[in-house]
Amino acid sequence: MSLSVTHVSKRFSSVLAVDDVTFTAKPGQALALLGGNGAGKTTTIRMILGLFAPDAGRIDWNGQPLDQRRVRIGYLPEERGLYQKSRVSHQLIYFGRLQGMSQSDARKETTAWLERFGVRDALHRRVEELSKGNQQKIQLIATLMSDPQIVILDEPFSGLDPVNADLLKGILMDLIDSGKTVVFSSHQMDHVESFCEQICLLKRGRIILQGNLREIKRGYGRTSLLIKTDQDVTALLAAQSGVTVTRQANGYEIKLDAEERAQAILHTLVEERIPVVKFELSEPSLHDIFIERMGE
Amino acid sequence: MSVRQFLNVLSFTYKERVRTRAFLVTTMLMFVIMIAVSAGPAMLSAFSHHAPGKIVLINEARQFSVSSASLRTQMGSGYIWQSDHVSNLPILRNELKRGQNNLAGIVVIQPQVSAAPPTVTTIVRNANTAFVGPLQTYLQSLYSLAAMRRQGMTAAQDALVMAKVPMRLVQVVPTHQNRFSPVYFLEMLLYMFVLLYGSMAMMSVAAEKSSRVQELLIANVKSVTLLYGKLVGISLVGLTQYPLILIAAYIGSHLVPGQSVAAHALFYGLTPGLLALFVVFFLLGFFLFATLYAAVGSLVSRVEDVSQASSPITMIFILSFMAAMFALDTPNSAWVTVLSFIPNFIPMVMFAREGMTTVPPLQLAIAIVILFCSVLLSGYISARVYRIGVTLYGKRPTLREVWALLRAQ
Repeated sequence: MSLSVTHVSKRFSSVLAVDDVTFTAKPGQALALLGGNGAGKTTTIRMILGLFAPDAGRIDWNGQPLDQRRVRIGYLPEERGLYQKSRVSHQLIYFGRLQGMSQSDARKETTAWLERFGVRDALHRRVEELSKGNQQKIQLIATLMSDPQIVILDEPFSGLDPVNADLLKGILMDLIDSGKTVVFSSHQMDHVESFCEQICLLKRGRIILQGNLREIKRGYGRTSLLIKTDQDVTALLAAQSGVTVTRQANGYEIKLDAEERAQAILHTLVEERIPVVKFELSEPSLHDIFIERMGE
Repeated sequence: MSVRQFLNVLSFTYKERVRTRAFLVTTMLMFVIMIAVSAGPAMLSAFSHHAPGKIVLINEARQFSVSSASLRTQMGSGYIWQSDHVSNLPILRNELKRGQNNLAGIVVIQPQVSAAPPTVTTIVRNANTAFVGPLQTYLQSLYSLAAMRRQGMTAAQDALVMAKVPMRLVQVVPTHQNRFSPVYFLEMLLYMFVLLYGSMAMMSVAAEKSSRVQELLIANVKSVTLLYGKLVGISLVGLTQYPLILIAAYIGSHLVPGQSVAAHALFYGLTPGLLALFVVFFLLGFFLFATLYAAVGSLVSRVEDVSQASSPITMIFILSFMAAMFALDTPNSAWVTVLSFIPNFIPMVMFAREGMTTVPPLQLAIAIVILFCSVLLSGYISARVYRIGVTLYGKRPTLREVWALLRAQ
């Protein structure tokens, strides 16, 4: 039950918005579509949703051309798309009905999901009366209430406070565990890292990096060093070769050109008798990889 | 187009509009205003009937025999006629000036030298001169009779001379001038409904696009289903208000009992056929303009840009309203006949023709068929523009760009 996008391209007059993009999203996994503004993420998503037909390439579900009318797709747009003046119950039932649910199922699911998100009291309120975070929850319910086979989430965490972000994270983990195919687009790399196994990095319509996130990171080696100390060691670190130092509030973030540099730095710190609170050598974060690749 | 999805969109659109407080308030307001407007003529007539005022007659011409009693019977119209002496004229003028004693006017008849007719001076408070015309006709007949009597005519010959010539009016191309008020009222309603609900459709499309609800919807529903579900839903909102407005107008015009036909002008001459034709022209006119409006609504990214972008369509519709207003006066002229077959003019101008005169059924049928085909064509084009428009964000595309996209589709 996988979603395959194969050699897909889309041109808008003179702009090649998506250029020969290929990826596969598998059930029980989340695939992150990453990229800056205008990278082609939304156009790719819209082609999956059937809003645009690709100029070239194919989109398959389970080896057959994807028929959006037969496969239930839950889509969460980047910007909140709700009727501001409408009551939550009315529009959630409407969205449920449009996704093929019966009136009574839509009503039942609306109540169940509102309870799950802790916003049961929003049932009869107008959307405009709700906070941003709660509006985002309603939007998510509209996406998930019909038990879709493919879930496409464009920036699902925007507008959520840390408590609600954790709640959403839990729900998404449940979705992945229950075997849904999840395609996820976000700028918040820490969220992507916490539950996306596969990534697909787009730049100007082309894929510039894709694959298993753990393997990609491993390929970079342990080149990210974090040192926490109460003393000022700026000059000492700057004297080292092959490093880029960024001063932080209570420490230093150092990019190494090779993993071995870390040993030389540790040796110097010990020699100079600098009291070190934390010395952590790790693989680069997705954020670092994103910045590095997008800057190229 | 899935019927189930169509009905889902239709029912949500209809209920969401009818359930709003704004709908409730405007409908109630329309109801009250309609009662007031339609009761207006009857009320005015009722008031003027009870207080037409008093007119004082001062007859100085001895040879001219006219009494206040004969005036009361001859002139009708409810004025109270009283005779008075010329010495009281200054006091009466003062009373008239101050609006005292319900005095509406003073008529002074003064003799002339020799056999010349007497001079009649009518003094009124302001512009109330409605009785002057009939008064002159009556006095003229009295003078003529007196003059003929002096020439030796007998009383038996009076009746022969003064007998009225019977007048009969036959129209070769009949018009329904007595239906002017109701047809005018329905034209106004047609204009208001098409514009109101047409722009409601446009705003709804633009608001869904700018709030991105659109993206959720077209991921699940075909754009053409969405467009037509919405338009039919909104047209039903209009059809919900229509009978309420008619009921209000009916109540209003029958609020004051025992009034003349003129007081019920708003309903006089209305036939069920004309009221049904209103529904036909409202629906076809609405779909013709609303599909165009919806296409425009789908092309703009912000609700603020809607009215500017739609102004050419609104202008075309206003033009057809103005043509219909002229058509009410000259329903049989050649230009009105020509305009009543041009799609955007048909709803307003053909309705004016049918209201004010009798249009051959074949012409009416042809006009309805032309309008129906135009609605299908504009619906087809609009659905294609809508499909492209709802996914376009940023700068509003030019007509040429829209055309290029349509061809690419």
